[in-house]
Amino acid sequence: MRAFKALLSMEFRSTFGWKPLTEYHNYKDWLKLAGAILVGLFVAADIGFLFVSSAISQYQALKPQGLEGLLLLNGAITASVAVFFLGFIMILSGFSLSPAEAQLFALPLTDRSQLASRFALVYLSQAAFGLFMFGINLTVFGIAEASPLGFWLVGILAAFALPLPPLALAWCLAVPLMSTARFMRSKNAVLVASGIIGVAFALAFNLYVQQSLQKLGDQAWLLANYAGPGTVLNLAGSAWPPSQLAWKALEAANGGAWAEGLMLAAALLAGGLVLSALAVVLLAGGWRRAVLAFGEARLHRLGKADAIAYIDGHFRRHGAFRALVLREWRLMNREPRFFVNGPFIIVLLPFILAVTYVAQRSALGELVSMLGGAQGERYGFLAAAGFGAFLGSSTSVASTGLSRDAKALPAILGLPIGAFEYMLAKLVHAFIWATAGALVGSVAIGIFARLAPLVIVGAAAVALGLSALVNLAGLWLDTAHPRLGWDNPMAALKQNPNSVYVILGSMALIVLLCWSVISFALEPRIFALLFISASILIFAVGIAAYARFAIMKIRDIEAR
Amino acid sequence: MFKLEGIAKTYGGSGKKAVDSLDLEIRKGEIFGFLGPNGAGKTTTIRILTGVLRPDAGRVTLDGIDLEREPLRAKARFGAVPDDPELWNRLKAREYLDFMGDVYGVPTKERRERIAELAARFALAEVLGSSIGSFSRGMKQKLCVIGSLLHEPANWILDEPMVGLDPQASFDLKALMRKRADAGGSVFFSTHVLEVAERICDRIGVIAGGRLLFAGSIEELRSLRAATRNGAAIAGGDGAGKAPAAAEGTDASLESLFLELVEGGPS
Repeated sequence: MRAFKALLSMEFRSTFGWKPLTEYHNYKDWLKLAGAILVGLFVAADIGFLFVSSAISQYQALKPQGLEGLLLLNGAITASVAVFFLGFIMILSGFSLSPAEAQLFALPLTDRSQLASRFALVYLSQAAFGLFMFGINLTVFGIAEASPLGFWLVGILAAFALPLPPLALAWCLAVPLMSTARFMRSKNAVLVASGIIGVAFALAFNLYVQQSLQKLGDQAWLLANYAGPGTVLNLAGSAWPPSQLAWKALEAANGGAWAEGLMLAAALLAGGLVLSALAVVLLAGGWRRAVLAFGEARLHRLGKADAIAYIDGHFRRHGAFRALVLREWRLMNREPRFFVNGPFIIVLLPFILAVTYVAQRSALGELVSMLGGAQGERYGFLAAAGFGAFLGSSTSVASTGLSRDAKALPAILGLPIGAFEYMLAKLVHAFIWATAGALVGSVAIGIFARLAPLVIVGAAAVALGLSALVNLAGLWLDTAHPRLGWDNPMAALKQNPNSVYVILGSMALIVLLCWSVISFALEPRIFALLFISASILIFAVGIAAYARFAIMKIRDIEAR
Repeated sequence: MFKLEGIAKTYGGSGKKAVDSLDLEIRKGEIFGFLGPNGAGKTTTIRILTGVLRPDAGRVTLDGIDLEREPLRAKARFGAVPDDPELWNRLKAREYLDFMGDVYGVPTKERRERIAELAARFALAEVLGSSIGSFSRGMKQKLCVIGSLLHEPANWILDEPMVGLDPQASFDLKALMRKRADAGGSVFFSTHVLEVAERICDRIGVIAGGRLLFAGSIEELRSLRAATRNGAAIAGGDGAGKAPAAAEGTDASLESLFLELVEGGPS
């Protein structure tokens, strides 16, 4: 047990970077903790508001039909589904730590205790989401129904038990997958798979919540989805007995039969624990094999004759600057952690907006049609230019350019490359994505709102101009204050304050842009012309000044 | 040929000198081994020598070219193998070598010839199309060696080059170092492996606490040790030194000489 506790503590520290309060020695540590708690509370309150609103709406819609108890079943199913997907993603991501984890097999610990500690880690992390989702429905129902104390006790027990079965199932799928599918044994594959599942889950959830909120007032829809044996909710409940068990336990406790409720909840907990223990016992061997096999190098070897032909066919001289730009492109866009948190926004954001539009077509359709008319041309132009400018400015390519290269600096600075050429290659790379973002954003909105072609061209030009300036400013910021001391690449990109400042700054500039067009009642075409001219001028002055700054700054960098 | 004159470096905020008043000359046609315990200042010296770090004081010249004044010309005169080869995992081996070739402006024909020769020597020819991320540490190290030699530099600087290499590759690398020195080039490398330094170096430098304790041949170090045993002051070799604490003959291994010099032992 002592070894298990030590393992669990180590897993927590290495996964979340947490440390006990006794290790907080200075005010910075406490400040960071306070900041993390504040952000956590803010996020919980924000998401909680959505869930509470949804639960109250569901309750109010179901109550007149006498179906209010289904709120509990809905909460149990939603929590189980969320815990399953989030848990599955966390289990898959855990395999990325395999090289370090494999060293633990040399310690006198059983495979089962090691897997049990990982299971517990995933449970403790993901159960929080389950508790949150299920707890809200439970609380809304309990308060509205003035439920007795037994209901609350059974609810707490059920809330802790509910995440166990979906997590056991997630492990039962993940371990065989990782031990049999060779293509999954790399960090890239795990990142891509986790990313796709995560995005798909988030979008599906978004669609579900938005559609539900819209249609709760529709009695026919409500009856088709909530009431009766053939409805979606009942089918889902039947397919996943733990959620039905939790529902029955709570219904019983709410009706005064709290002993029956308690027994059902205890059965749920016992079942969950048995399933979890079975998963650990049966999967420990396979999990060990999967961890050891993870990251196996698969070299693509040529024959001797082919190798000579390969050298003659593939190596040829190009310019040094092209080599620098290609290096930037490959090192960022082939690293999923960088790509997903950087340029991928150009794909993701339009996709999210499209899903939102589909979900709320009736509310948004009218607004979009207004943008295309002669009256709304200016607003359509602004929407297209603003969205394009935001996509072109938010890729974080320039604002993290030097930080991302921190580890490579000692090797790069020893090469005969000018400091400005080196940084300019980063800017060119950023511009490639900025152009893509500006065009995707402005053209997509332009076509969607049926703007005139010339207006779309003007919007794209404005988006490009603004993106160019923001990217230059971002690179300047990261040159002045690079984040060079990091172990996790995410610290260079996602957790890099420069990236946040630039995204917020670009938002402020877009607001300013909209304000100036509306306040001065400028024609879109004239405004585009003026804006582009000003952008070119500012950019020319800016790049000349930046060149001097970059040379001085790179020369003084202490690459260790 | 490299020359370091009066080099000093203190990292910002630390207050402690990582390198202090370092004078060193690596001549044409020699292999110079740079030895020292962990944190002695070896990597800092190499980073100053390769233009990665700017010294607080002093001057570095490569073949007479001042590194501070003409950094690009000076950097084109050497090839460097870094201590950490884990930097380019997202590139394919071919892409890395083409990058190095483009940066140094190596023409296509020469590039192909050198890659064919060096990749065959280090057994990498058949995996040039593979991702560097799939390489072992030793293979990455070999790739860095090939990349550093694509432009046929007159000077070669290697930071802990033997780490991770298999015996055959280690042998090949030492042979290559010898070959380049015999052809009139200068080879400067840092190492912890004293046997390697003893076997292939024409001269060695010993650094500890940022100060150069000794620079000269191993024979000179042995003579100095013997002289100290007889009570003479140490002023030999190329640099200043401190008195070895013990002396038991003139045929001591480099390991015992190194320990005496750096730590005042074995006693």
